[in-house]
Amino acid sequence: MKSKLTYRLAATLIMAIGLIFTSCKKEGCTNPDATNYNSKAKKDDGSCVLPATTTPVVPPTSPPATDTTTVTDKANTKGLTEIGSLTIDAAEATIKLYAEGTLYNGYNKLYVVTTDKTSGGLLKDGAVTIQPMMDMGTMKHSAPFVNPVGTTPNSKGLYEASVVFIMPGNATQKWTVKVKYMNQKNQKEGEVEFPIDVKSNPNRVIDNFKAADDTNQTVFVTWKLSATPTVGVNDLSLMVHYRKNMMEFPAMEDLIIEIDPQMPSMGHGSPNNVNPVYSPNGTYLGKVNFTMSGLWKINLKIKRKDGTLMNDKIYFEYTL
Amino acid sequence: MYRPSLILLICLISGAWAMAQAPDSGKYVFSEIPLELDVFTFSDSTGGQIAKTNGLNKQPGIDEVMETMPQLSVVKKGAYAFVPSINAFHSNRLTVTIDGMRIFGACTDKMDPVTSYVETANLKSMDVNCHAGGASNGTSTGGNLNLALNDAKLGSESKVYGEARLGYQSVSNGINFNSGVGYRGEKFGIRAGFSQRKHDSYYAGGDVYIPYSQFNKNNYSISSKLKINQNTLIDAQYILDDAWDVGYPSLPMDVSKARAQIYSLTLSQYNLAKGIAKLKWKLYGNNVSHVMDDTKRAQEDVPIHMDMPGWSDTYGTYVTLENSSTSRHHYLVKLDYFQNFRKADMIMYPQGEAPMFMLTWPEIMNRNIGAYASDKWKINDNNTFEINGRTEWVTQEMLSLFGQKQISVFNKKGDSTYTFLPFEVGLNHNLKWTKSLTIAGGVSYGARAPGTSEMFGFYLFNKEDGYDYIGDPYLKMEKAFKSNINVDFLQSKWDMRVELFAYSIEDYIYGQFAANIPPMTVGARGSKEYVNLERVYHYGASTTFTYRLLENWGLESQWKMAHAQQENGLYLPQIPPVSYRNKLTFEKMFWYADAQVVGAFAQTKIDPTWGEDKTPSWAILNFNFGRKVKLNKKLDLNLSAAIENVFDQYYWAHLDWGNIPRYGRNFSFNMGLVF
Repeated sequence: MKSKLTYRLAATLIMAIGLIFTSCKKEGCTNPDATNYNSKAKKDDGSCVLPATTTPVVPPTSPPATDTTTVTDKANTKGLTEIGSLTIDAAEATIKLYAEGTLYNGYNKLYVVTTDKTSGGLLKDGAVTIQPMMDMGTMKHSAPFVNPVGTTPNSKGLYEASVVFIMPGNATQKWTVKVKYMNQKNQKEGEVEFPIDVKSNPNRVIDNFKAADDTNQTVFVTWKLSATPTVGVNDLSLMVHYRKNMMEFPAMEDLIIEIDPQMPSMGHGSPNNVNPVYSPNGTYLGKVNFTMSGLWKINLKIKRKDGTLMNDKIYFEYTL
Repeated sequence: MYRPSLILLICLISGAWAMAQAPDSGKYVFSEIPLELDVFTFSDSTGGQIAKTNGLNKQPGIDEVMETMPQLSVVKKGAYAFVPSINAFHSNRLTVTIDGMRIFGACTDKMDPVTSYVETANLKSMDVNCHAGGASNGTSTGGNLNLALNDAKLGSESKVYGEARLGYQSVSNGINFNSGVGYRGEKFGIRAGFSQRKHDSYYAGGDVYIPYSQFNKNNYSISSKLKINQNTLIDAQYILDDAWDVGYPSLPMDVSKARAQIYSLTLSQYNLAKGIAKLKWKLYGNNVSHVMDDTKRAQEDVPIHMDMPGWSDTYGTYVTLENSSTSRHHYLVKLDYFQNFRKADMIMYPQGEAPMFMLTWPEIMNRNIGAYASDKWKINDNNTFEINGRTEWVTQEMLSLFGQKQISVFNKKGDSTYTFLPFEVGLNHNLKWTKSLTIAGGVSYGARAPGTSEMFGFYLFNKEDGYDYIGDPYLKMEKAFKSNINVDFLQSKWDMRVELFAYSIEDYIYGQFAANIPPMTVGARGSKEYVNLERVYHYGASTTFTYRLLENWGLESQWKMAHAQQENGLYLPQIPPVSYRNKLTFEKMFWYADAQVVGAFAQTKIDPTWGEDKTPSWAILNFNFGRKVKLNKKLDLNLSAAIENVFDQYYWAHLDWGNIPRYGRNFSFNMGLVF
């Protein structure tokens, strides 16, 4: 057990170091949309400063079934864990950030509740955007994320967002999530930054690779766990992003993904798995079958649309 | 417990243990304590006195007895718990009952056939019912093996009786001990028994040591009988069978514990009304638990340590009604119900990882309501006609939610109740052609519901073929059209019986390679899924010839063969080749001796996909000697000695798993006191 944990910690560390090293080779900002775009730079060093209007390209999310008339005066945060509460004086709003529990590297849902700074009443009209950021000391990078849709919270009074934390945080490398709020009432906006504690995931639900072709893309594949996997048939929902630069992680929507679940200590797999295919809601949907409890490894094979192999070494691991 | 009426249905008549057999019963009757006749007209205790006269009181284990019965073969996985095979049908194709009570093993790997939970000391007889008369205790395609229990006795004068037998055999440094003590009075009888068998791993021919072939077991039994009034009896019985440290040399695992508790309460009412000569009502239950064990094996042979326990609990009841067996129309009606719950799981312990868990029998509940009726019509002295039929309502259900999730990976529904309506009808005609020639023939058609493992087994590893077996709840019933003919010649110096049978089986349930299902077991070659084969043909013959040479000398020869093939010509697995058992006996007063040649031809008709290989022919020579000493009026001492496999042959039979060789030269000594 202990050696496994050490192994996973080591793997995470190697991942993090890898990120640093790849960033070391960079010489400037390669994003033409950035204010500090450097046309001579061959590699992005993560220094791009994006104009405020630019939001990273993210997979679209199906709009929540929101009926503004039913939005309550008090947000329903039952079952959620509060990460923090900060006030934006300019927008006269208090911003509370919630998660579904402990945050781990991998896919996480975040919820934002906006209330009036003084009355404490729920603010139901305003635009919320988020921006996750990892400060590694020598460099900063963001992560794939999805902003809340629309300018009103859902029926529970929550703005729903999600982030794929591509690495866990630690004492020196910390995640933050900036929340920007535009209060429609007074037409004022401002932002606050929440420190986020991202723990190392006991299960390997995110992996990355460098594409084996000349694009040299760094690609992140994330297992979006909607429910705890169990013995039997499980829906498998995957998200794939590549690092366009340190701030932008667009979704990749036209890949061919093959899965092969295996029990490493038994040397066997499971039958009737369904390879995930891209669905309009931004994820690749398939089925993964587990025949027994224990440690399962899901080997992944990622190909481009034309069948070119991108990677067949990455995998997930989950202990049922 | 078979009345003479049913005895005619029984497929084969004579056997190797001729001295232990009623001349026309087809059952194996154990030697037992001399009895006074029961006080009731319709007694079940027939034939109990037949075997006592000769000195051969080795009191063999039930496994050895099965081997010598003419219509039985055994599937061996070690020195213990042989799986009975009737005319080459075994496991799910047979209904094995104890006094008509249903009981099922608790091991997913069929390491604990029902017969392993009783001792010969518990038994009065073993009855094989097959062909057109095998359905009284349950529908099946292969027949029924019923183990009749030794009940307590009543007698007109009070008496304490008992026996103690001790045997030793060299090949396994083994001890067999059987004892029983009873009291019988006019109104009340009680009998208690204790048996112990302790055997080390044995040596095969040529002094080849067979590791992991040891076994140990204790068996305790108690039965009592109470006479309420002239026409009413109550019987209560309890057996506890406890085996431990049982090796299975042909399997990757042994058994640390196998335990069964078998209990029943029986009410017998005689002369209830006109036309109802006997009513019998039994309530019963049994609880079986079985724990496999890989901790004694060499570390390199155990890729991953695992626990594999299993449980089987059965509760049931039945009522039988019959009229006098001397009636022109002798009928018997039986109504029965049982429910069997079986569960087995598997926990594997990989190093440095979370344990892995699965349910191999995910809490399977099998409920069964049955009705059976037979009418034996005595047309005249030479012609007897019988018709019988049985119908059942069977449900199979998986109760475990975890199991339902497991089976969903095969795109199969585990949350349904699967219902089957198996039935069986049979016709028999017995014609006494001449004084010395009797011909009997029968036809029947019947079906059986698929069994627990066939429907719901989840990755059950079969070491012999190296595949994991997966059940299929959508299986169809297996249907069999059966026909048989028996011919008996009775002469003053010799008699002979020839039996032929032919079955055509539809939707034969068979494990077929499933390329799309990866195996689970480390080192398995693949997975197999149970499927219905369209049609299978199964036929065979057996013959027993007895010749009375001289006053004290006898010759007996028993041969059997079976053949089973799919429609496409492929052979089915686990079919024994032609085998024989020839015996020359000498009997005089209190002396007994015999010489036996036992063997089998080579088997080349095999199913290689099942992991079988060809088996060469073999033959061994055995000697038995017995002497009975009357110590005084009340006390008998029986002594016997035997040498088996005199020439120390290294051999195995075709049905022995893993080509594990059988006992080498074996000296055994037995001593028994009977009072």
